[in-house]
Amino acid sequence: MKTRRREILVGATVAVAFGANLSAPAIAQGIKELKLVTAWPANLPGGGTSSERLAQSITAMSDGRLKVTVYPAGSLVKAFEVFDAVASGVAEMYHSADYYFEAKSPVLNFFCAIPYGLTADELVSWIDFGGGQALWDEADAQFNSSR
Amino acid sequence: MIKTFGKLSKEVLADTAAKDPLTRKVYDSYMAFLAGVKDWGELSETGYRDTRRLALA
Repeated sequence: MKTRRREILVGATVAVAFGANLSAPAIAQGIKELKLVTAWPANLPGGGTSSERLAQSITAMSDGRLKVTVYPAGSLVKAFEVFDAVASGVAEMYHSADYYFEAKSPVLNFFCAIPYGLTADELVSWIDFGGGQALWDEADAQFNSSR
Repeated sequence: MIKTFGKLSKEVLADTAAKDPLTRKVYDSYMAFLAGVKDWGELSETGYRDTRRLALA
């Protein structure tokens, strides 16, 4: 099964990160249950609703083989613990704004939002066609994550 | 005032880029892309929205 373990940008400033423990062979053997921890309260318009929609889309697009359960902020880990939760394997995915984790590395700001920076369309263009993805991969390699 | 925000933001971002080699590399790539794409954005998205605003007014 071909899985696009790349960035899924949801708006300009939020992205979903995947932990390295999401392995293709494990997926091929059957249903894989994935935890998606978020930095938002359940059903927060925009953030929370997007997490839920994304989880449902992944489940539907994989014919149920990838069963994604959303854990809103505070239910499995706290809002600002999502980054470490994925890096350590407590959850497979997080949905957050990476500038929250600037203390881990200032490089994370550039894949999220900077003052007077790229618009959402421009950011996606940089990631997909302007060399951004390779740099994002390089940054994520430090954290046991990928987008 | 916006120009002052812009000037100060530039300084903060330049300081951020100086923190480590990878951040410098990403900063350089990002800024080069921004410099190349911003005029196209004016022509395409801004131009279209301006025209649409007139057409639907």
